[in-house]
Amino acid sequence: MIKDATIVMILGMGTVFLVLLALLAMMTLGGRLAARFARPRPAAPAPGPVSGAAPDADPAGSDSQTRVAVAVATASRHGAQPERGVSK
Amino acid sequence: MKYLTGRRLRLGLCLGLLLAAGAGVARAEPAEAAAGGPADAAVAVAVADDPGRPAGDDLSLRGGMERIAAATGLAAFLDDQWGAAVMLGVGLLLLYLGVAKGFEPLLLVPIGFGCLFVNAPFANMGAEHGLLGLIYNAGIENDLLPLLIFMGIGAMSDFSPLLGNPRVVLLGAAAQFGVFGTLLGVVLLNHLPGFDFSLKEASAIAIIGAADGPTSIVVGRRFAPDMMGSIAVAAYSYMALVPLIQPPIMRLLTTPHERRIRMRQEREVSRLERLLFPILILLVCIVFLPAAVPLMGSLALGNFIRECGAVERLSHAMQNEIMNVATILLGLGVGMQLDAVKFLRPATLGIISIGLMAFALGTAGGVVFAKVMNLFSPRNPINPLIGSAGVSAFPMAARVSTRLALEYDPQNVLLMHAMGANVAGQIGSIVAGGVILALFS
Repeated sequence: MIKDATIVMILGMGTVFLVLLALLAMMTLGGRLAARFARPRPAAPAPGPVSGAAPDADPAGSDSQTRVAVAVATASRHGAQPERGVSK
Repeated sequence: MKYLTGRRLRLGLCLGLLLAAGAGVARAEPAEAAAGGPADAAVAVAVADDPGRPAGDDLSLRGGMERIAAATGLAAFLDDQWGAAVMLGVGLLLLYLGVAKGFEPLLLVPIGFGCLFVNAPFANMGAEHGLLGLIYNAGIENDLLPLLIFMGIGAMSDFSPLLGNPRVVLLGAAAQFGVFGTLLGVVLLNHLPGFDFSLKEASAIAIIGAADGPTSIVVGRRFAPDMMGSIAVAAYSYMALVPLIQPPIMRLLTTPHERRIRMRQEREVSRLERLLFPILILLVCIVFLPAAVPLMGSLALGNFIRECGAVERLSHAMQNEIMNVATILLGLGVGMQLDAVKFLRPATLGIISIGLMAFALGTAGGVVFAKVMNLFSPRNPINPLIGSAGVSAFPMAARVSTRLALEYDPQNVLLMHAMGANVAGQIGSIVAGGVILALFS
């Protein structure tokens, strides 16, 4: 009976690992496919002017370089397509 | 003595008289008692006074008292059902553990009451048309209730932590050593006097190591129906004791440096991945292990309903109403298996002790395998403490891993990684159960 139990143990652990390895492979593949084909998330809407705030209150700061950087980043985020073959 | 005065004293004397009469009847009419129990014996005595009348039509004071006395539980316990009295104590112990100690109260409370019901003399609640008999035949004999529980678990489970770090699925596989390693232990137990488990029974006992109640019930019912109650109670009790069982083993098998390993943040998981995952596990199961499809399919159904977002009402019902009703009925049905004849025997002691071994082996298997995985990916190591969460005790095992890691590094929060290993353990336990079903069905 010990021999039978050993066989069951080997078969059982082997099957469990086989099934879960198959699942691992499919999850990894699915993750890569999702990263390739998933649409990029819409950028968070820029905060509008707060009522009562001073007209020159800018969440990005008053530095013009910072404003330019924010504008470039926003534009590239809206316009760029996901890079193919790269997973997240 | 001051309490034994007046009304209480009279009540006690009456009870004593009833008892004495009942015991006297039980002794005087052994043939009738053996044929139909003390209640039938009392009826037989009354009818013997006036054989022309059917039982119950003629009631003398003495005959009535004798009937009532013989129909009391105390008379039954004093006669030959002392085991039922012991099992009432077991039922009360389960209630105590569930309510006072907080050990899996959702299950132990209905199981405890099921144990009290089935061991109540003359109540016949475990008979075919008794409450427990009906529940068992309609809900457990055909696996309905365990599958409903799996649907609820699926509806409550979030597989994102697993999808974000898929390699931890292997920890769920390694922890199933608790099942198959224990199988050898059960077979070795047969060398002790009083134990004689077949390979099927040994497999049903070993499934305790899956740390998964519904799977234990499904496998136990098929291959060891007489031991199903003991197996389920052992599984649920040890699941509740995971915070006590696992930490010493985890400390024994890891170094302080390993316990402080910080894991990389998981990647973000898209909704599409979460939606497709239940379909994926179902397809994998259909292809590789159809015997596990009922269990895995129920889990997948519940999780798909949760993730699709189109049927919020059903998702809510599965997580709440269906799950709660199924839990109550399953607990009562399992409690029905705790009758004295089935429970009070040496095999139960073996099951209880081997169950502890099963949990220990499962924990060790996960922790050691995490260390082995680190040999192959030193740049992205796994904290071995999450290996113990590969057993299916959800979410207790994940909490234990997280808590232990925080003891050694208060900034190291492993909860999501441990949850990933934990849901992998759920899947692994179903696969382990499916393997046993496929091998022996």
